[in-house]
Amino acid sequence: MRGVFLLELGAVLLSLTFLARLAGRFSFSPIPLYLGLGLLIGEDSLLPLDVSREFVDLGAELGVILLLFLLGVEYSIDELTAGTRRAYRPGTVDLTLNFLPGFLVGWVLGWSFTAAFLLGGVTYISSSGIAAKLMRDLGWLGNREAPAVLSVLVIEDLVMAIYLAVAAALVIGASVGGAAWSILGSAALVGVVLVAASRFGSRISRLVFTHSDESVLLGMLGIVLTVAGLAEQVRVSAAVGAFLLGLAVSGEAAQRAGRLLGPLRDLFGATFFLFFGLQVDPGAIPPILTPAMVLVVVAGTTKLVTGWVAASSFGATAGGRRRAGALLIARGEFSIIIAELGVEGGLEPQLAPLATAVVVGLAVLGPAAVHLTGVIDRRGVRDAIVLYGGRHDSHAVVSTQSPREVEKRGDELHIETRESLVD
Amino acid sequence: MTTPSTVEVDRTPLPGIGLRLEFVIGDGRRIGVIHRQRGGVELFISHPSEPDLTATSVDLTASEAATLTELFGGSVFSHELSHLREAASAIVVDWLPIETGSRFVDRPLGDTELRTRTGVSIVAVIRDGKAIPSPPPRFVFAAGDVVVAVGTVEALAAATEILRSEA
Repeated sequence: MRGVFLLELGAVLLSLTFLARLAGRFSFSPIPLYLGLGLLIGEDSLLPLDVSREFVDLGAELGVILLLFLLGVEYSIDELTAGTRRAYRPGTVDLTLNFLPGFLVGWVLGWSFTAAFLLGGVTYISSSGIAAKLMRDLGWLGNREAPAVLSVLVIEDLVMAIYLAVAAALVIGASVGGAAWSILGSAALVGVVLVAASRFGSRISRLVFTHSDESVLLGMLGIVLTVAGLAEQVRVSAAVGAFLLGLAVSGEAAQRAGRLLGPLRDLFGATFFLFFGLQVDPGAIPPILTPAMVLVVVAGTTKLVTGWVAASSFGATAGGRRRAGALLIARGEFSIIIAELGVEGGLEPQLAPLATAVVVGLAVLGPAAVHLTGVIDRRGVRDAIVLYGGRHDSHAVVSTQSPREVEKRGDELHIETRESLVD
Repeated sequence: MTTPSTVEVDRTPLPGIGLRLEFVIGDGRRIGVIHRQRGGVELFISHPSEPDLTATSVDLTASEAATLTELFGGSVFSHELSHLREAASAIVVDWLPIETGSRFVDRPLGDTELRTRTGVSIVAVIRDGKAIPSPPPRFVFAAGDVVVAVGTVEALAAATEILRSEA
């Protein structure tokens, strides 16, 4: 029995590895593939696999906590305040344009307010993981629109801290007062964490930070889980607690947290997406395909508009605005975390399949759109060099000609030059 | 040393990534560096015809970036770098004497290769009670000079050893 369990777990992890590599090769996100694998091996699926539920359950919970903790670690409080001031306007446009599609579709489908509120969150939040990875991989961090995109993502992540607190309260059936309590609770928790960090920071550091990576790893994990558990106890979601703790961690602690807990997050994060996919009955997908397709088209377009607005406010031209829009299209980790809240609360049964379909659609479409804008850029740049002269010495012959003379020299040379400029 | 020209440098925080410093060069392209929070520097230059788009970017480790800065002869952004490093480890200022027996007496500062070998930056040299800020690599030491250097405790200890070594 034990051997079978290990065999199955090994097989699942190997499949995840394969999917991660596949996604990495094409600069795509592995998240839709993890979700898909979950769908494939779930209970009611074609290939049911009886992976120990308890392990996957626990792994998924740790995954969410670590995803949010390390997301908080990425940012410092200074960055958050500076970023929000500049991108306040695009942030508002982003929230309005992208929350409404999900919320309205939920409303049209006759869902409860809470379920529609959750679907609004699913369509609102872009995947900062996918966008940041694409920018790094393509070397776009030096682009004019880069700070615009990153500022929008920061605002979204901040809004998420409040949104998750409210959503968690609504899901357990709290009233407006209950939701307010939940927000106050998270604010109080931030206060406690910040005071503790500034007052006992050095003492905690001395306790946790030694030269041994092992004790740092265990200590960090212990603190994260304790704070997440406390948050859950006072009815603030564990995820929010972990995120706030991450914000409070900075400096050397942040770097080591990233290095040591990063691999754990990857393992348990993948487990979480797999787990979410496992819960979805593949048979529930076809009935929601129409609203899913509507949402993919609408919520993809509204992000393009958001990116366009954000990039213009940072002074970018058409190319930069196009790239910013495309970068924001992908939805990912957060959307699934929101949908999972609904599943845990036993809300609308269509929420999980619809969220899965929308995230898979947009997580594939987003990077595809980004690569497409890259192709458009290269074509534009190439034409500009051929016709109006670039600074590449090897093409100086062409670049000294006026555009008309280039045309006159015949297609053969023209095409040849173009080819040589592609790479 | 020529006075540093007054090129206007744009500072843009990239939340979650680091800090971007850039300026526009003569032909209209933007050139700059991104200091990563996680360490390391990215050097980039924009496209000649599409200044919003990065044409080429190069990832450098902290020591590669320091070497490149040295090749340029003098660091405009050393305060930026040290500011960022401060977060990772304690940066200290120390006063390192050039004693009479040292092999660097009458030799240029560049020969010590302090930054390459230890990561320590020399911010000034004190001679006859007067501070000479940002001495160039060709600055020649005399016995009795005191080097004002910035770096980690370990790096400064290593630098002291090097400056003390006899001819």
